[in-house]
Amino acid sequence: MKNQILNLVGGGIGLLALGNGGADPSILEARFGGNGPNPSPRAMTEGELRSIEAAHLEVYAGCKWGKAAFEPVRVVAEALSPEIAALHRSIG
Amino acid sequence: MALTPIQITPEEKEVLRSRFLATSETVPLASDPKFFALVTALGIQQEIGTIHDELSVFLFDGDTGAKIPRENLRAEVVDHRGHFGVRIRAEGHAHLDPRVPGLRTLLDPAHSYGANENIHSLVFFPEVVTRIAALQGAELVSVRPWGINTVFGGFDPAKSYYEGNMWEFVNVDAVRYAELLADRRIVFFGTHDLVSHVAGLRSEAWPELSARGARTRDVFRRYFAGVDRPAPFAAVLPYALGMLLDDLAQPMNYASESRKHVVELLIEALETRKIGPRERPYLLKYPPSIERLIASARSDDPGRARREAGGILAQVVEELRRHAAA
Repeated sequence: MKNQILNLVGGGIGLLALGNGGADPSILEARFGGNGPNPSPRAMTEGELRSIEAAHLEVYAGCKWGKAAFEPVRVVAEALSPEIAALHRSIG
Repeated sequence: MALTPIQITPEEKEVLRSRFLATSETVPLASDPKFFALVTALGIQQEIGTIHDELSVFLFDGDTGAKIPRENLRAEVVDHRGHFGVRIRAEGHAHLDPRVPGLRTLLDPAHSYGANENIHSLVFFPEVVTRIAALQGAELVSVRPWGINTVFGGFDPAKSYYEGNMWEFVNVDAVRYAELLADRRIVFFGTHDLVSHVAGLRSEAWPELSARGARTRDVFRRYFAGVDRPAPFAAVLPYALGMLLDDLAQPMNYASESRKHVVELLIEALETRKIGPRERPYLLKYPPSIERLIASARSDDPGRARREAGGILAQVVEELRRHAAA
């Protein structure tokens, strides 16, 4: 597994190659927070980290989830409804 | 009464993180409003002025009309009579003009406005924002894995992405996102949530949004039934679908017919198993046409999406297979 990842670093092939069926998810969990069912405390090697980050950039270069998908719009003023004004006043 | 700035030390952040780890996986912010207000204020404060700062994209100088460089923005967590919030200011800019419909409604008026109704600071109290959102039929929630990967980890101002995004892909968090939408829930941790989802929220959008969320959730449940850990090969189309659900949950895009069209195409592709959920070949390259598919969905011209998106999606599927090694 490690050789595979290190090869990916040199070859410029993305992390997505990790998805070969039995790719070890604990590698990702060790780096990315471990919120899976079996989080591993193992630290990643520098090579593993670089390969994941490089591939991550590739994955997200063209399509980003969680970004504003609209342009700025000029807004002159927005009147607060009495209900919302009361909510603002509620904390003092 | 003046706001009191709060410095959160690394040790205090670790204490917050420990407490956060003990929260339920998805929980309404209103269940522990003061704690989650601090978490959200911290999440926003950390992003301001960095490449993750989505608010800065929409912040202009109210006098000159010029875009305010994000490097000029300063943010601090503040306390006001036991309520936690975040205050954002811009060095060298006394009059701020946030160009996001609905954002002014979320500002604390007493601490954001000066003379002549000019905005000198952007002050948000997440407790109040949560209640304003509730008036529009939305429940703001914490999603623990996402919070861990954003507010409490994986945050590096020098990077152009959140490590949490990788989790969204690997864990097929599109499923979770569809479930949230079905339940009329919005996560609230950072500037993206504030600017793109909460500002301008309108209750009349929820029937359609939640129905689409429920339908997509059910499609995902059928698609991934019995699949423990889908391979990246099978996660690409669901990821694109999740991303467009996120787009459609942005008030500025509620009515986007082109996005709705591409969502329907992606749902059909999953329902007809264009890519099987159990297929596990190596994926050697992310399909380049995904970018074109998203661009088509985000086009202002629904006719363009109707004309081209089906063909582009077929190319995505073809590229997936071409770049996969058995």
